Amino acid sequence: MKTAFAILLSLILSFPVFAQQASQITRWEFGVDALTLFGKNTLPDYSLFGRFLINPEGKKKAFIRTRMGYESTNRIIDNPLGFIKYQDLKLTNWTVAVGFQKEILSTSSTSFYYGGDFTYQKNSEDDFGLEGIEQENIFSYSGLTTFSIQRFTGFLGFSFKPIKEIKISFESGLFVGNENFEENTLLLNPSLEPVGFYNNSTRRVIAGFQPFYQMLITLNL
Amino acid sequence: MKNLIQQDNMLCIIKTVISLPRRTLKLKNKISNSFLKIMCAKSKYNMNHSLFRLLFLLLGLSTFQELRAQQTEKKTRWEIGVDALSLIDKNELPVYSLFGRFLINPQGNKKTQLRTRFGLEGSNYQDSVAIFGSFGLEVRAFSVFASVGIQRDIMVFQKGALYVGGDLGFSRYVARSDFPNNTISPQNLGFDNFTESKWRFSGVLGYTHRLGKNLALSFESSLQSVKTRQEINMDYVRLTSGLVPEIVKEQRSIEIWHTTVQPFYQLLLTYNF
Repeated sequence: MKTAFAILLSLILSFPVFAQQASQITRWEFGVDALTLFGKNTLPDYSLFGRFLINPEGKKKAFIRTRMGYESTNRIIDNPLGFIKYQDLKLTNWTVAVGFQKEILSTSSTSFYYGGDFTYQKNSEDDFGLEGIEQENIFSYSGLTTFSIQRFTGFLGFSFKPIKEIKISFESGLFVGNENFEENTLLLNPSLEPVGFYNNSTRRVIAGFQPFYQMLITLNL
Repeated sequence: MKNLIQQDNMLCIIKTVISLPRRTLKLKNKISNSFLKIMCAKSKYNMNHSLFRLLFLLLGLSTFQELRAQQTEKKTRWEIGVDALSLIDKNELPVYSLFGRFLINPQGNKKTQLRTRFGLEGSNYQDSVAIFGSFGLEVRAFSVFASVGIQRDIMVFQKGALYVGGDLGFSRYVARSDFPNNTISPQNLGFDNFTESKWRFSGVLGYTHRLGKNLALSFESSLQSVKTRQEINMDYVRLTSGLVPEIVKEQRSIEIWHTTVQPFYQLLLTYNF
């Protein structure tokens, strides 16, 4: 009888333990890059990060990972006295990165991992804006710059969990890639007459070491 | 309170006892039996009765504790806080504003909250420029920010919750500066009025984590679309062309729609009361 009660008691009390174990296997993670806060981010500040565990049963966890972002600007300038009477401008920036990572070593709260990311990035920038007009360079030039980058990064990472729901990952990488750059510039003299226009485009191969590739703060779901 | 702590300790002991491997089942039984004997040593009732009582007491107490925790949680409906991103100058919303939240479904398991952020900042310009009667001009400029929104939990964890929501915000910024301070052209004397108004539509995804009883830390990312209108009104005297000064009035405006993912929208440190 005593044994029966002991078993009953143990069964009742073990339910929450089982429930916890089941909920500990979280497959989705998403988060942000904390390097943005210091302006040291490699990938654009308008993007978010996500990770998906593909082998929940496996001893060494493997994830597929992505980083995506989108930004668009649409502006209309109305400047009756300047050289721009009316201008409608649209700019779209976007970034997609897909990759894979696998653990090398792991404990319950920390892990070392390696992996690779393929990144595509398209950015356009321009110097228009009233604050710009007021302060300086619209009287001398206006420029529209577009660049696109394709890049592969191989990385080594370290992650740890300060609390159950949150994981912090730090990654360093080696990258190799291709960058296309195009610049359109209109030159004006102080009385706002166009004196020249030039278009400059460059293609270059980039490669190097990135000690601060990403510093991710992610939420486990 | 002491009872609750004792009960917690007891639970721990029992949990450790029952989580021993199967091989040591006999040992486990011995341990649990002796433990229960100690527990019931002072009791005059027989073992079964005591066990029943113990079991019910445990269940009852744990349920009561949960209920009580829920009740105290439900009582706090207001939350007020600040944006920690201001500390590192990465704030998306104006520095001079405060955040507040109000729980509208205290009964529900998943919280629905109304949210707002509001701020006001004023400046008073005393202009001493002495040209054409505009001597000692006094101008007040107020900047204002107001936003309202709603949020709802989609997943609830042990100490935190994931939520989605939306904000509609409006801000107006006014500034006034004198030309001699500008780099634009030192030969011009006068002033300009700069006005910037923004309409902000944000979809918010956030995670909130409770720190102790009354404090919470909420981190939010957003997908937002912001409509900005900037306008400059300039009124100045050009001193370059010959002897006769030329009075110039200019107005420029720009309208910008900016749609973007903003990973660092708000990092709120809030207090519940």
